[in-house]
Amino acid sequence: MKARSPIGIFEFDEKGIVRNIELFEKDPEKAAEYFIQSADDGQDQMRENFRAYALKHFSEEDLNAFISEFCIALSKKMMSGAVGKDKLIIQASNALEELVKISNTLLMRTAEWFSLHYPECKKNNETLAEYIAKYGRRENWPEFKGSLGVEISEEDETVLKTFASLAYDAHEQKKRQESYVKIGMKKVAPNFASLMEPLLAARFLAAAGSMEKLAKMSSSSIQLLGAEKALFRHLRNKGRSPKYGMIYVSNLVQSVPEDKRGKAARAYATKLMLAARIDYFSGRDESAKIKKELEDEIKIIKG
Amino acid sequence: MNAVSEWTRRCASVCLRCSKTGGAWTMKELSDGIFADKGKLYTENLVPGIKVYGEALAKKDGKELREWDPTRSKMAAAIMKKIKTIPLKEGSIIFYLGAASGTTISHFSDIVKRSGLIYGIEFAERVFRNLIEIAGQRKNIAPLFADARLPEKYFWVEDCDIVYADIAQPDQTEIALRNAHIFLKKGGFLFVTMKARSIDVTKDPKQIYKEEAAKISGKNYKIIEVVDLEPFEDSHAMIVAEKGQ
Repeated sequence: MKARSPIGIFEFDEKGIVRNIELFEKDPEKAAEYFIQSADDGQDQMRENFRAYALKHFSEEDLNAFISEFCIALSKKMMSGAVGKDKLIIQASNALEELVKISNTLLMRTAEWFSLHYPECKKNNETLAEYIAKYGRRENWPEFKGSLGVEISEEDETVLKTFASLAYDAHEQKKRQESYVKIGMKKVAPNFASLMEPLLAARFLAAAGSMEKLAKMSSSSIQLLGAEKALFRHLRNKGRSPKYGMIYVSNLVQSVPEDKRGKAARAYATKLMLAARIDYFSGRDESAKIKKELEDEIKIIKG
Repeated sequence: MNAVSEWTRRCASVCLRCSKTGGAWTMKELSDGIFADKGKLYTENLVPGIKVYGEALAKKDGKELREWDPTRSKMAAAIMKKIKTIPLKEGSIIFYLGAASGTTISHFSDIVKRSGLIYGIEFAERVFRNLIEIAGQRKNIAPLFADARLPEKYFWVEDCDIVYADIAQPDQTEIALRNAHIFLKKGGFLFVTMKARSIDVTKDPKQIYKEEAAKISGKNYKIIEVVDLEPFEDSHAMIVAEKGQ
């Protein structure tokens, strides 16, 4: 019987006595590499005897330092596979939410600021920011025909212009990032993302924490994702239980009459759960089939 | 926080008996490698000059001591609450479930010194990177990136003197027991920190501690003590058990 250990492979006979130790090199990186490649069976005896045998080849401090470095090397090898595409999508999706807020604030401030100088301008905030970044003061604008606003100096113009271009860039980045998250979400979870708006699907993924966690969630958990506060209030004080979390903002639940949304959310969450599991565990594309089933169910609920 | 400082002051006079000297340095060794002074706990820094989580450093007889904050480490909180069993000593081999970023582990590492070893299991890669950094400095921490629910994945780890579990999961007792069953030496000690809130938010914490202790004592373990960690940690307790022969 063979058993792996950080220092080498132990061989036991039937009575559990160590017959031979095939030592690894005394380099933690290489030892971890060999360790991963080798197989073993039965290790109960090794755990008891490990230190006694290892101390024949190492001093106590060296052994501890070696095991420490060995574990670091081994863990690094295991960790490198742990971060997947889903984590990138989650960060992008969270960043997107912040970006939406930031770009709105910046665009509104730009419009407010510029309206002192050119109050007659009737453009929406995005185009306004684009124009300011491009032309600067009102006199340079193609459609300018006189204004009641205050005059601005060269200095004022420079600051306003750079701020406007910053706001416009934030807005552009938001659009780019939206399409990145949409495409990425369809790659990571094709079935799941096909059942709802991909941006909302990304928020579900972010709330779950990873594709693995999402796939292991029960449908009731998916139904209540985003309603944690209400759920724990319900559990603690016996308040009314929540019927839906983020699922409520999806087009599908919104399309159902108000008194039937709870039922629709339940049916929807079940299909979402199925889709997430297919995505994580097999990767087949079953989206058409699931979508069809879901639509049929919703039809029945609508009555 | 106020309740904590209140308690610390009381500790200074009652539990550690050092306030009579009025401000003079009266360091006392509570247990192997654990020092107390004026209601604060310290361990001797294994790597002088390096802080792990922004804790205060103190000098005494050429030794550098790191303050052990009972509001950040449950073991320190348990010591402040006069836990009787402190089997930690130089050369101990410890199996630590839920190592996190290594706050408590760094103090264990101070205590066991280079002749001891701590296996730290952690499954969140964000905090694990911190743990790797600390392990690199200290050379007596073996960090393992693994799920504590699946001991088969690290079956090769040697038998340990102490199994310490600090995992806030609903089934934390079962996880700790499964690991202790495999990795704890006979006559070794099992420490389980209970977070009542992660087991059941609706139940009374005291009731939960009793139920969880009963789960442990049923399986070849003798419960030695259950220490409530208030006011340092809200609704937490430390259960200490000894493994039978």
